[in-house]
Amino acid sequence: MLCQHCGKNEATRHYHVTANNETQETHLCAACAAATGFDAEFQKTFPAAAVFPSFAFGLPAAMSDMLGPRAPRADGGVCPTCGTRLAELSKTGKVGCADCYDVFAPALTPYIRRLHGEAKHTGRLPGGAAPEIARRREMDSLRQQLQDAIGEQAFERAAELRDEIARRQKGEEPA
Amino acid sequence: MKTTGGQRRDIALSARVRLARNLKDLPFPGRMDADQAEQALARLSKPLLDGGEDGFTLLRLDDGNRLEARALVERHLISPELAGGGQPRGVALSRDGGLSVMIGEEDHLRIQAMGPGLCLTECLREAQRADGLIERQETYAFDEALGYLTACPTNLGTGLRASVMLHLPALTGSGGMRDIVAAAGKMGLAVRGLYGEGTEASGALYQVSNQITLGLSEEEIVSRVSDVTLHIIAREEALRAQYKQRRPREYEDRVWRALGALERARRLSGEEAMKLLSDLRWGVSMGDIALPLETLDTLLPGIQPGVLTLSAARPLRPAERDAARADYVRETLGALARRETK
Repeated sequence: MLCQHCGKNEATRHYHVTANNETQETHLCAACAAATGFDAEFQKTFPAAAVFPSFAFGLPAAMSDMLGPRAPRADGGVCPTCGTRLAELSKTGKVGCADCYDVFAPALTPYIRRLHGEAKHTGRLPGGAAPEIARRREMDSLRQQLQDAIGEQAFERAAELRDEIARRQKGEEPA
Repeated sequence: MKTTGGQRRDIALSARVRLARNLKDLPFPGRMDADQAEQALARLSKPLLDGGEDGFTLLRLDDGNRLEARALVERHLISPELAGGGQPRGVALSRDGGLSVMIGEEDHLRIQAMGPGLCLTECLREAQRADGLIERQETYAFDEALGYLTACPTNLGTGLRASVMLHLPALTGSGGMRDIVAAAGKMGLAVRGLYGEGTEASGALYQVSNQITLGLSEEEIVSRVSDVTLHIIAREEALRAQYKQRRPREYEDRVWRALGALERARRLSGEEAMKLLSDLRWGVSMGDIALPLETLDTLLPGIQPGVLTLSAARPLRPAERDAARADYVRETLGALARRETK
């Protein structure tokens, strides 16, 4: 098996964390395990793993790159905005600021999934963000309908949808 | 505006909706310094105090006014966490007590709306109205997929906790609570004893609330909690009828004995008072003892230690507190009896 990080060397470090009948596996070569700080992070956070299993995966910068491109760099697993450390988060279960959800996304996402399932927010939207989000949700729905129409070979309908999407894109993003 | 009150007040004492919110541009309370906490308190209380119609007043809780804070906890207006003191923090209370907005708890804002009976829909409307007052002036931490961002991921999404306080003496007595807790759990709801520790709920009082906050709309959460609550109420009702029918003398003795003891006792421990009040409430809610249920329910916070101490305006030793508790209950019931005979 190849290392999940570099994809070149043979993976010789195998991490298994089991919680709630779910096992998560990570396979790395010795160099990547050391370079990503995974080894050290795993040791450090292991006591909390039973409660907060996802955090056993640690979050050094290299790992966050590997797992989630949207996350800003968390140097040594620290939120640059509020200073919350990954180890604190795994102990208290609380984030320190809104940005922590981005910074620690790779570690938090599996935990949130365990709490709430695969769910996405469907409730109330704050006034400021509401029109923009509503527009995006509509566009997503139109694109999905277009895919469905193509799948069903309903080309007339697909053409209509394509034009509708183009028209809206023009309207939303004037050149 | 106070909720007019919901249905099934015989078994559902009260309902509450809580919304958790945070400001986008400040760290969450656990990470704020004193200046930031002061700023959050000022910014978040302002839209409420300016609101006018609700007559909000702000009570600061960081000044070491522990006794008042404890009394507010016992009246379920604030959480023990907020009462803990420390950083600048406070609670904005509406004139009629229907809205309580905690500022600087685990999240910047915990907006709570409560009312008597099963009135979650009204509570939701009220909480959202207060939410709207603040949102007009401030920007909340929000993510399209995760919803309102909260300090604890258990509250993500709607940030909504809908709960109902239930009086379930027949279910408690029959040992049926275990099944109820398990069944509610499968629906994503929690049933907990309100007072006391562990499974033995003091005064047979329980709280039913949602655990999942993300992926359902506010209305869906509220209707799920209401539906499950109505099922629990129906079960309690059936067991009450059965008990009364099969053991009429035992039932009558229990509820009337409670009234007798509460009307005459000179010392009442907290535990004993809770048990007697539970029995008396059972008799009243069945229509067998003619007392107003609302007054009975005001006794519940009144017999808690912090409220008693606050009323006495001096520290009380345990024996003095038991005496004060008995006096308070006796006088309240006595006043009711005098009003009845007039």
